[in-house]
Amino acid sequence: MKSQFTRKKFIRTLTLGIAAVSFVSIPVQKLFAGLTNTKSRTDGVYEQDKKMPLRKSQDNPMIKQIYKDFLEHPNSHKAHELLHTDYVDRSAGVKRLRQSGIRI
Amino acid sequence: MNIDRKKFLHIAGGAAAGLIGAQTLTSCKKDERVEHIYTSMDSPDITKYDKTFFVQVDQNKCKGCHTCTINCPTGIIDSKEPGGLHRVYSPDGCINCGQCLVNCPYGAIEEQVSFINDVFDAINDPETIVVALPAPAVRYAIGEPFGMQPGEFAGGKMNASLKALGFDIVWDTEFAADLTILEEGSELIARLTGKMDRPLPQFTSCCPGWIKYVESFHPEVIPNLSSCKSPVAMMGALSKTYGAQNKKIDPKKIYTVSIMPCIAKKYEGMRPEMNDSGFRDLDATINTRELAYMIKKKNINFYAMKDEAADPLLGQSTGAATIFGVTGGVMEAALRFAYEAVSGRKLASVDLTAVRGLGGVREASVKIPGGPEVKVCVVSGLKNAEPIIQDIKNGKSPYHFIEVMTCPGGCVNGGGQPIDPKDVFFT
Repeated sequence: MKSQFTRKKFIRTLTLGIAAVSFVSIPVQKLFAGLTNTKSRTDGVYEQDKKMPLRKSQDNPMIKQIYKDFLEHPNSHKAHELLHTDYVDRSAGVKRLRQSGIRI
Repeated sequence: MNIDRKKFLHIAGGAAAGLIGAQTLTSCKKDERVEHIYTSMDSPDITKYDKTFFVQVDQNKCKGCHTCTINCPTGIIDSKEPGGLHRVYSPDGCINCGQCLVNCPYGAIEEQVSFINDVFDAINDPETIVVALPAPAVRYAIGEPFGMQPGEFAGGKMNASLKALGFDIVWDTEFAADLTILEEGSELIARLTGKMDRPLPQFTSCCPGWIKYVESFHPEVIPNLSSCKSPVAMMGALSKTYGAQNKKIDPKKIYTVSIMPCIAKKYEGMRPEMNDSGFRDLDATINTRELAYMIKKKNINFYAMKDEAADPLLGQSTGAATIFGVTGGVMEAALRFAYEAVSGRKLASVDLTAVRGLGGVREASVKIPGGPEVKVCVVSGLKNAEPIIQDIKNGKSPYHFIEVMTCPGGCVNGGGQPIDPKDVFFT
């Protein structure tokens, strides 16, 4: 039998097409909306960086001050006490979730 | 006493009316629209920081569109069957990044934790010295709820509004970003030269979502994480030690409020490790949306505010600190420091455009005179970090220093940033 593009087939394709477009378009639109906002905020950040009189962390006078008066030098004992930390192994919870059948 | 039909109906009707009334009252008190996002006004129980849901899906508003799962780096937000109602299954696999929330087309995902009432209480208490610690990325988005363009710098207005809200001191987290660069950059140099017994590559540790992700999913690479706290955690510890000493304030009276473009920072602030000053380093954490909500609640005209600088001592910052808010920023700032620290020469051009951009994975190689050639990598969007972590586990990673930001684009696109109401179909 020769395949023919019947009225029924046309309507079916059209409906499926519209359904696909309307289902997909929402997340796609969202994605692009988010990215453009991110882009303009990123541009704003680099613009402000250019306007700053000082652009390197080691030139910051208050940083020089705090090392002179308080922290001595980077990675000093005092700096380790206040500014550094340790991390905790939290994998047990994830293992439990995976065992209960959740795909993460 | 006999109860006839009429009396029975009287009592039953009264009880029903009372129940409905009580329910409406409690539900009104609990949830509040904070810049279009429904937020529970319950103060969190800090001791249960690991058992707290920071975001959850409202089952009455979910349409089963799957956008949250697509944006979730771990897949903990999902539905039992295709097209079904989605929810966050457990706090364990959730890294609290909030990308599901800012991307939900129906505004169905809600914040479960808010310190807003605690912060207002602290401000209203005359004894308490309330310190605001605003993050770099906040000032590029806080203007949006007040009609400013996305990306328009509003740092001065933000400082002025914080003062008008009743914050006693504004200390800038950007200062601690500069400090992070010196600490983390020196750590990297120590690792590169073999002075420190920690493996390469070194990962950045500023992003709280990334940290929880490593701790939960890849504890094997914990030694690769920089031991530096995030900038705001440094800031909390310094406020109650160095800051309090210099300002001659009793650190007991200081109440630190971290203001972040982020939901995961709420979790970070509640971590028990964050008490190095002898007190809770960070008493409260709010995000950009919540700050905008507070400013509107107090009827402060944000746009008309005159620009103000942050308070001295912990208030000055450089361009290297302000770019912490974008992907590649920490890397660029660290290279601006490491180049000069290792070579002893002045960096001719501070614009290291090789690490900029919005791509998911970007790599660059920097030759430092008198030092090694440093291979760096910048990851934006946590899903892109997976192959890089696998390479490290297999011992094949070519890099020395890797920056990872959970949110695509970095903190400027964080889970706590204002959303565009035009993008959401509210129901």
